[in-house]
Parts: sequence; C-alpha cells; structure tokens
Amino acid sequence: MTRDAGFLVPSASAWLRRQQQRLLAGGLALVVAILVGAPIAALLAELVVSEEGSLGLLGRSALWLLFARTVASALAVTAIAILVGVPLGFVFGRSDVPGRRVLWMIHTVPLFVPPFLLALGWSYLLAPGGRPAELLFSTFGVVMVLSVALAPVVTALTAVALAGIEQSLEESARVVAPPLRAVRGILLPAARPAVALGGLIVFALAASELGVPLFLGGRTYVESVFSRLGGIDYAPGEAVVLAAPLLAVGLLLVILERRLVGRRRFELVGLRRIREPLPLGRWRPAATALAIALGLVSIAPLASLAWRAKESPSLSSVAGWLGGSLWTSLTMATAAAAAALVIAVLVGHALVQRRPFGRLLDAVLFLGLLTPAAVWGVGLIAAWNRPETSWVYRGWPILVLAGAARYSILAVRTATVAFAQSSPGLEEAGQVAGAGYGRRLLSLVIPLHWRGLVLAFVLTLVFCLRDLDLFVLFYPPGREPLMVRIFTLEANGPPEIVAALAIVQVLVVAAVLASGGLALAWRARR
Amino acid sequence: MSSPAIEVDGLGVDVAGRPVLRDVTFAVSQGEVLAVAGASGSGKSTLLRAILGLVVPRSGIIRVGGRDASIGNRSTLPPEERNLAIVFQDLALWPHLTVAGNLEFVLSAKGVSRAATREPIREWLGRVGLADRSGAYPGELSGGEQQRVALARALVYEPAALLLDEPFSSLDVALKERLMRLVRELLAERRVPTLLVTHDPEEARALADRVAILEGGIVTQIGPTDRLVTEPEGSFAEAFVKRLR
Repeated sequence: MTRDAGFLVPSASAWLRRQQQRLLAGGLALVVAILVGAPIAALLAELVVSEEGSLGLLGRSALWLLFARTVASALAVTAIAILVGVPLGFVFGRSDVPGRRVLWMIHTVPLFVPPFLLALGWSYLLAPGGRPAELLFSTFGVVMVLSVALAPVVTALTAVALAGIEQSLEESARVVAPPLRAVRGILLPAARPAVALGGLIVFALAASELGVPLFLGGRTYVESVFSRLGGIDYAPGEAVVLAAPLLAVGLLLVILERRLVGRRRFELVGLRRIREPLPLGRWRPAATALAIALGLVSIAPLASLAWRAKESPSLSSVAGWLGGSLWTSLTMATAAAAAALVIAVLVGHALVQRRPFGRLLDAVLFLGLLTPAAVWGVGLIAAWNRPETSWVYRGWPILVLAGAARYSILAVRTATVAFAQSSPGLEEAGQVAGAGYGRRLLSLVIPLHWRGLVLAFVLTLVFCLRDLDLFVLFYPPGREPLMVRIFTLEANGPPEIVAALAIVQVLVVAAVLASGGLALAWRARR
Repeated sequence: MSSPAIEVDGLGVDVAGRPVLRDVTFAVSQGEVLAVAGASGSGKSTLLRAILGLVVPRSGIIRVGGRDASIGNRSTLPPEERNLAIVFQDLALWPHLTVAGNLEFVLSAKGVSRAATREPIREWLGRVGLADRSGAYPGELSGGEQQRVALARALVYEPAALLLDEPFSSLDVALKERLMRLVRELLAERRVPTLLVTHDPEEARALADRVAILEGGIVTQIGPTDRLVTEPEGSFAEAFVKRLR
C-alpha cells in the first residue's frame, strides 16, 4: 500500500493480485472464443454470403432423407447404448458380479479405440462372407459397431453416478426393498442425469461418425459434407451450407444437456466410503455371463486385427508405412491435451465456485463435443484458411486448435469432478491468509487435485489420438495423424499393413493409458 | 411374555479389517426407547448398520422380533425382511421423488398396492403436519419439514422397530425441541420400540427409557436413564451426564 493525500491507495502489484481472477478469466474467454467461437462465426459468415445455388441444396428432399437417416441411425445407437450401458453400469459399479472391475475394463476398451478400427477388425473376422458379412456391411452393421464402441460412455457415467450417490440414500431404500427394486426405484432414477448426459454424448459421436459408415457402406449426411471438402466433389461453398443443419443439431444437444442434466452437483459423495456391493441373488450367473459375452464382443475385433497384422512382412516395413504420422499424432494430441488442461483448471475451478462465467464457458466447450465434427472441419477451414493465418492452417497448429476445441470439455468435466471432492475451506484458508487467485491455483488447487488433472490430461490425449472424423477433414499436407493414415491406406494399401498400423494405434493408446495409470498409482503411494 | 424387538448378543463387527464393535450385548423391549450414546468413532453407526443388515458382522447373534437376523458371520435375514425403519442423520430423502413419492416407495416395496397407499400417506402426512406439502420435492422443504417427512416415511409402514441415527444433530435449538416433542408423542402413541443413537445427553434424557454407553466398540454401561445420571461409570459416561447436571 502507498499513502497518497491521507488515503491508503493499493499499489500496482496489490491491484494486480486482486484482479488476477478477472484477468485470467478474460484471457480464458479469449482462448475459448478463438477455439470455438471463431470457427462458428466464420461458418455463419460464409453461410450469409453463400451463393443461391449452394443454398438451393437445402431444398433437396434427398438430402433431408439422408439427414433423417443419419439422425435415425444415431438414435438407434443411443437407444442400444442406453439399454446395454445402464444395466452394465449397475453390474460393474455396484453389483457382486465376480471380477467386475476387470470385466469393466474390457468393456471400456472399444471406447479408446477409433470405431473405424473396430469395423475393420470385424470385417477381417467375418471376411469369409455369408449372411454375417452382409449384415456387417449395412446400416445394421454401422449401428452395431457404433453401439459396441459407444455403450461404454453410458456404462461409465452410470457406474460413476451410482457409486457417487450418497450411501444413506441407497441404504434407506435397502431397508425396505430388495436390491434390484432399490436399484430400479431409487438408484437408477437418481443417476438419470448421468444417463441423459451419456445418451447425448453417444448421439453426438454417432451422428458425427464418418469412418464407420464410409467403410461399411451405410451412407450418412456427414459423408456429404466430407465429399465436398475432398478432391472428388470439391465444393467448399456447398459444404458450408450442408454444415448448417449439423450446427443446429449441436446447439439443440447443448440446450438438451442444460435442461436434462441441469445444474448438477459434481460431488461424488458416495465415493468417500467403502460400500458392500449389492447382491444380485439368482440373477448373478446371468449377469456374469452377459458381462463376459459383451467383453468378448469388445475385444474380438482387436484380436482379429492382431491376427491379420501377424502377416506383415517386417517391422521395418511397418515403420516405413507409418512415416511421420505417429509423431504427428503424439505431438498434436499432447499439445491439445496440455491446452485443454489449462482451460480445464480455470473453467473447472469457476464451475465448482458456481460462477455463471464458468457455466457459460462449460456450455460453449460442450458445443465443441456435441456438434458433429463436420461442422468444425468446415468452420476451421473458413476461419483459418486465409493468407494471414496460413501458418496455422498449413501446419500442426490447426490440429492442436481442433483437438482442443473438440475435446477440452472432457478435461473440464474431469477436473471439475476432482475439484468438487474437496472442501472449499481448503482454498478459503489460503485466501484468508492472503494468497491471490493464481497462487491458490498453483499452490493449493493443482497440487491437491493432481490425480484428477492427470486423468483429465490422459483422457483428452487419448480422444485426440483416436479421432478420425475431425482431422480427416483438414489435415495439413504431409502431416496426417496416424488414424488418418490408416483410413486413407485402407482403400488401397496392403490389408496386413493396415492391420499392423491399427495395432500400433491401439498399442500407443494402451501405452498412454498405462502411463497415466502408473502416474496415478505413484501419486497414490506418496 | 413377547420377545424383545431387537436382541444383540456378543456382536462383533469389523470394518475394513479393523474391529469396530466387540462383544456388544443388549436388547430393546417392545415399546421401549433405548439410547446408545458414544463419542465419534465409537461404533454407533456401525451398530445400526449391522442391525439393519447393511454390514455383515464377524461374530454374535442379532434377532429382530424373535427371528434370527444374523448368526456369526452369516446374515440369515436380508435387510428388507427385517421390518425395521431408519431415520439417518442426513435424513436420506430421495431427491427425485416428491414427499408423497418417498412414502409411496416404501409402502409399495412392502407390497401395498398403489391404490391402498393413498390413505396411510394422507394420514401420516397429516399427523406430521405436512398434509399440504405432499407434492413438494425434498429440496423445496425447510430443514424441519424434511425431518418430519423422514419420520413419516419411517413409520408409515408400521415397522417392528425404529432406528434413529442422530436425527436432530443438524437442527437449531428451537426446532430440535419441537421435533423431539413430536417424536416423543409419536413413539408414545404407537409404542414403537426404538433404538436412538446420539451423543447428546438432552436427547437421551428426553426420549429414552434406558441408555447404553458405547466406548471403543464395547458397551461399558447400560441402564435406566436416571441411574446413568446418578451413577455414571467410565470417562465418557461421566462427561456425558455432566452436561445434564
């Protein structure tokens, strides 16, 4: 403080300390505006100046039929994912099925594998032809592959929600009702917001999917956008027009998320105590058999890929086909996950403090995940493909921007749940002692929730690594990520090399997950 | 002579491999209110959860209404067949159900048809003064109203015994006195055998016929409330009754 004309005037450094949170919030808002706002604004601007011919596309009934078909497929995937994921969420999260943790891990594997690779694995498995292969290469096959790939989203959210329900809520139901009735009447309804969130995410990812329908032959609306950005039907103006209904879908999903999930609590109070699993009684053998069967379905395509990869001529030939794609994938995904982590700390902290600003940014970032990837492809091209920003568009920065825009919300939600588990008093004690916002974040919030932040980083990294639908739309020449490399090679490359690259992709993701697990275990021991 | 509502004989319970209760023995007679008093961590809540069947004991016998509920480390009666009711410290009202929905769930779980639940719900909400709040959700109620819903939900299906887990600990003095009066009236009116877990001597004196002192997982003293006040045994009992003198 300095004394000026008899008044105490805060010094510049004291003023800065007090304004830290506002300044950081302003910077954060700017970053989110660049990530999410710029592509949408650019897309809308292009739409306004679209030629009449392009706009006329929206009058074609065939196009709307394709749109309806895409929505119907995504709804079918969502319905199956909920029908499978909710019971499994209970089985893995709260029941007494033997080996449920291991079975849960196996069931979750497809979530970390690009759905296109699962489709590829199934195609090798059912290659001899006949009715099963016919079914695979159809809309039915698309729906089933995506259901297996995305059901773990619902399973995981349901299981975590059930485990997080206050113990006394469950026990007061158990005192009067048998286990399954307590689950049906009390636990599952209490977990409804989590199930709704899972359903919305599954719908968004299914509607966004490009690789599986392109490979298995079920035509989708997203494909019509993709083909206009590629070489054959190149018509970027039309792509902008076609992206508009998808943007509307994204906005609708965000509105639904706000209404269905609402101002949910992020505290998982029930996790604070060890709980006895709920006995399934006579249903236990059937539930165990079902969980094992679904586990086998989850890993069968990977086993099939590995079997085909064995035929690869040599490791050096595989490395040759890989080129720089693995390096691009790893560097781009790491940079995007790091950016997402910084965003997650600031937005997550604002969310647990129940600041309206936090909720606004959370909604904007959710739009990133819930809006089909094709919209981002078109929007990013419109925003960054200009002479003055060509250094962004022609290089790795565009991949980082895209990855962070689409997947930051995963880090935000993970960090928020982690932050919400500790008492606000921990940080308030630091504030009372005079620590500014930045100091509290660096010295208290981040070290206290280190494990949650590792998880947030790993989750975002893995989703960036597994992405195909987004990066395939605009990857810079010579800088295609591994998944794009596999996708483009599939059309005319040797199948055993494609399978070997797919296994490399799976192993890289497994290594990232294992490293994250080791880091968490190391922190847990300390 | 009818059998005690709850009998606990030589009960031992481990939590996460650590003994929390050791050789606990007592009985709650029909129409009696027994308070179990003890410091934090003495095993009071674990005792309630073992009686309810929510944790499996290591040793001893629990009988409810004369039926064996658990013998040794084997549970012979699942929680829902013990016909007990509980009011938890945090009340545990199901937030997604209305006030009437909370009562309806417990009645229908007990096999009462939906149509037949209306009358007891109406009667009990009237009895606790919440007849006009049946459509409200727990989050829309005041603390005192929530407490009364929890009581109505516990008593609506006429349980064999009622267990109260520090149910007044979060209330202010005035509200606590009003609710204790209501509980006393209800227990006297219905003659429901009750096990009250508390660390508040005022609660024990106001509601209980007898008090058991639980220290380090062992019952160190049990007897009529008046005798405990005059002849406390052990450090916790001394400190406990000091606040009553």
